[in-house]
Amino acid sequence: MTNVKMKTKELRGNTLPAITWNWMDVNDVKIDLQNEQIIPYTAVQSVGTIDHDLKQTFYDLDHGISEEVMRMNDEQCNLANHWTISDSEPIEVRLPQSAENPLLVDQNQIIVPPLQKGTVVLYNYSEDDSRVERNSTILVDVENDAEVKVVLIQRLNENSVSNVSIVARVGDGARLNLATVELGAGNTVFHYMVDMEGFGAESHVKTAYLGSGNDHLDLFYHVRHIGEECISDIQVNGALMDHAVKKFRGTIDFVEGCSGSDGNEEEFTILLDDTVRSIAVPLLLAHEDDIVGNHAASAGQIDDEQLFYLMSRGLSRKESEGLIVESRMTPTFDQIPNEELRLDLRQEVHTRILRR
Amino acid sequence: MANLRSNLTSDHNIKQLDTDHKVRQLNTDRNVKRLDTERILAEKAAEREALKESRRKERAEKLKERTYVEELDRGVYDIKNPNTYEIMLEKGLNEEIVREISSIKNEPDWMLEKRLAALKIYREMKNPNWGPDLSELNMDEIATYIRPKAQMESNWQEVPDEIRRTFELLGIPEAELDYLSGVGAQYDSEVVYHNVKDYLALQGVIYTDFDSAVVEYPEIIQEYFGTCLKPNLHRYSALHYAVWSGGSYVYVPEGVHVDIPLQSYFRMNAPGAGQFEHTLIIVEKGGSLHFIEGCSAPRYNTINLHAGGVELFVKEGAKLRYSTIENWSRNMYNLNSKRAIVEKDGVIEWISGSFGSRVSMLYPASILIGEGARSEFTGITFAGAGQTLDTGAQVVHKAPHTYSTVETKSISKGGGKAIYRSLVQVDEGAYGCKSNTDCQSLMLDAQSRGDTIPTIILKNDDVDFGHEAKIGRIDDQAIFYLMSRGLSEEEAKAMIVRGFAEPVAKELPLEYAVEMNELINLELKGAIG
Amino acid sequence: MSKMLEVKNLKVAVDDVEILKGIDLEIGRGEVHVLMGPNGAGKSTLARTIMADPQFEEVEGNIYFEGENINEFSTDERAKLGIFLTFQNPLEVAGISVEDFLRTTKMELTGEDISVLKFKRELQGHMQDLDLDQVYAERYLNVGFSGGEKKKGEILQMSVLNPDLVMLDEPDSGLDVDAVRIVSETVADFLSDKNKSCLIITHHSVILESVKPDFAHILIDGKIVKRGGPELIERVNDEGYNWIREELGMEKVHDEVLD
Repeated sequence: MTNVKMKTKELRGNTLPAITWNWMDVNDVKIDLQNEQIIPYTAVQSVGTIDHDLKQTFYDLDHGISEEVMRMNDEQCNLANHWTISDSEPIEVRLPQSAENPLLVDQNQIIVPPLQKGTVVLYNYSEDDSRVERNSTILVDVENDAEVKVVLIQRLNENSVSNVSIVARVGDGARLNLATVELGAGNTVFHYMVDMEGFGAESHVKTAYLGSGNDHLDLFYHVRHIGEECISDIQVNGALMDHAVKKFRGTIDFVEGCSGSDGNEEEFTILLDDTVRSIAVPLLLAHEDDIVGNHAASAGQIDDEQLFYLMSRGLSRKESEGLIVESRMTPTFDQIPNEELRLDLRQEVHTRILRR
Repeated sequence: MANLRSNLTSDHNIKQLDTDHKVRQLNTDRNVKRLDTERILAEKAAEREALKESRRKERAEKLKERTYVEELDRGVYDIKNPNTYEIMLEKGLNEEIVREISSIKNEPDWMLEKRLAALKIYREMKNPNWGPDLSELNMDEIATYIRPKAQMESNWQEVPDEIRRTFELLGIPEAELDYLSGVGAQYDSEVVYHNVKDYLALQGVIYTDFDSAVVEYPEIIQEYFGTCLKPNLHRYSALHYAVWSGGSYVYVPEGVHVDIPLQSYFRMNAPGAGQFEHTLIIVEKGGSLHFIEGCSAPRYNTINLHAGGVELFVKEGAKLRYSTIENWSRNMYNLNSKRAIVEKDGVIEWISGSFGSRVSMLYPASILIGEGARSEFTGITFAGAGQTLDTGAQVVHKAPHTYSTVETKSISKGGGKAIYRSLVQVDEGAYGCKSNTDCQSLMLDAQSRGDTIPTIILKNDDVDFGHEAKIGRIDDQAIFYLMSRGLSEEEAKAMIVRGFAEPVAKELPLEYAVEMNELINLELKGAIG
Repeated sequence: MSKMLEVKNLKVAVDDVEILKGIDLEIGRGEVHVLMGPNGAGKSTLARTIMADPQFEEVEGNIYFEGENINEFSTDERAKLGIFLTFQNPLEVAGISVEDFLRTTKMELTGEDISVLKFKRELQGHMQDLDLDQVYAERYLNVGFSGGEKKKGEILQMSVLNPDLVMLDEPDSGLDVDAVRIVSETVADFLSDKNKSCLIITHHSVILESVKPDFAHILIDGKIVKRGGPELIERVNDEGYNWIREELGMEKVHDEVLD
């Protein structure tokens, strides 16, 4: 990227809904978006027309990573997609980036009308080693009794920066399935916020990540139970190697009136090297008694007995580790409709661990 | 930007024209489908409304039986004595007040210097931007030093009648006879009674009030004071070091096992005052001690502040159990700081029961600096109407093969807020550490709040770490089961709550466990049933 | 010619407590050995040490495979030599199907690419032998398997990976009569190839009727205290271990359960 004006003020975002001791540096995260210009993105064309009223409605719910990042997204937007889903084939959009397309600032609206079902896959990846930036907002409106699966795959190179904000609203009896795969970018900031407004609304999130090199991953989730009898879960599985740093910050928020709701979050990290950092802040906020909330976080090396078992069948240590990491990621990969892509991702996880 | 967007839109329009005829056909199909959709949606909506209605009725049935009393009669804890005192410094905080406290106590210069340095830090620091709202707390309205009309005695008969009666009603002298090996009793800013069994004194065990320790054991106090809990830790730690008064000093020599607990009891009688006792405990190599801390105060309409400081040094292979049953009145801001440094193979066990106060911020910390050191934290917090109890634990694993467990229970009712906040950190090079956390929250009604805010920081790969948390309310099936065996609903719920608190109760000496269960019953009365 | 497996004066301790106190064991090509002994004698420890279980760090003595000292060989290296151990409690590996797992492993062991279709056919044959449903191959490895399915899965892996020396650690415990028969027949069939050797740990005689062991070793308190042929197995099954203890002047243990 030539002639990039550097930002002088430090950008921060993904602020916890309930903050805690400042010295631990978990209340928010530094954002590494440097671009201030409007640069076109030429790899694919926009689809549909952005609904500006809807955008405003969602901005009123949540500002994604931060108000400033959202403002930059508005100003620099170079790809705008709007899908109104009706029972159809999965929509798959490939979003390559390279020296030719160093900047992707995309706005996406996924509207699922009542009773409709659909799948949207957004696949963002690097085609070369150049530093690229992405700043994305994805608004998902799942109306009554509708169901949508949103799959986000990120495979930028280690020099790059990925910032993705998803803001979603789920209506009566509706269901949002979100699967995210974070295999790339030296700096990943992910933000998911959902308002489950409807009676019996559901949000299911599965994330798989692999952090290596000097990767810094910030995975932020904020699930708000507003309607009665809402169900949510967040499952985050991943592995860290080299000097990778991962911050998982997930909040299940039971708003007063969400009687009969059930929320779960589970985070599991495999630590492959001595030099990794694994940070977890799993919040449960309850303003309602008639609910069930659970969270579990665990981290550690691969279980010795499991390694011994696999090695006793003749797999090398690394091969066994790769297999175990892959196995933890399978539930997320299984959400990807495109089998070729699925295999490709598994292969990448495998090779990266073997290469270690 | 606007250009770019309109381009995108016009591209889209061209495409749109190309496919216009298809769309027309589709629209006809869609119209048919739309009618279907509308019908199905209407049906679904009607079903849902019926379901919502019935669920709401069920819930209303349950709620109908619940009532709660705004403020409970807290019995003996609420006894108010007339506010008579020998010295009461003017409210507020400034250098003169700090100097005056120091001069009343005839302190050495180094202590005054520490106080003044802490005051400077206090002034530079702000209230935390997280956690409970402390804006109501105005230091200009708090008297930092109140000397009761009493000297320190080692015989209860010498303690002035009125003060003695208070402690008698709280059961302290009786407990001393029955199951304690030493007692300290603080009334407002000064310790009025201190005694330790002779046989312990003969083994070299020191248990005295902190003011006396500064005079009698200056070297050791100077060496340890303020090194575990530093004044710059947070604003109220700085305040503590500026105006501390009273508290306890315990020294357990190498290899000595203090088999019967020691207890310090802190009572605040004066309204609009602060209590800032300092507790320093050293358990030398291979020694052991169980120390119990109790706190209470009658209720006033003015704000009181408790900002005590607890510094614990657990040496190689030593073991210290530190139990607290805190039942401050609902006008108290309890901003207490507790911290333990644990050396090789040493063990710190925290037992913590938080029942009282308007606002609590309390997170006992264990710093495990020696290989094989261990920290076990067991806590219960019960937040009722008008209370915000922000409690938890901190553990820092600094050495290899160190172990920690955190087990907490939070209960909230009547609009109370119980917040669990914690940190578990495993440092670089601290290999082979194990840590387990289990926190459970029980909500007794919809007005209350229960939040869980844990942070976990792992800086190496050789750790075995687990964290679990659950939040919810009493299971209706459990109540039904107990009621089917003949218990009333109130009894059934109380039994479930007691069972919930059992892991903490079982760690306390029997008498304290009974006291805790009584506190729970007291808190539950009128809340449910 | 050297034996397939030679174990010489093998000692294993955990936290300074000796579990194996100097074991000598030789298994020749085509031989079937049974290892018997009361619970806690160290039978599984012996098999797991031969497989280089990292949980046993304090190991002394020597282990030779086909004449080569393998003391320094890691678990997977030993597996590649052709040693195989069935686990009493096989671990669950969610997200990896039985078929994927076995094909990957087989390729790793043989160093050859194996086509998906060819492998599927081979696997299905083995699964039929064990009376396993075809969907079994698609299920995640050991996840949600019943006790019987796990045991059969271990035998299935043995059949597919085709090792030279199989160590069967209670392959029959917890199985119903039919399953024991199927597992026994599969193992016997596998061992009918006279290039295969076997060390079997079991309390049951059913499986031994099929596989017909040549030698029996009795392990008590970390030592092999008696060796013999099939007649020894019969006597232990009838009378337990106390007569051996008596012979050796050891203290008798009462209420011993032969499970």
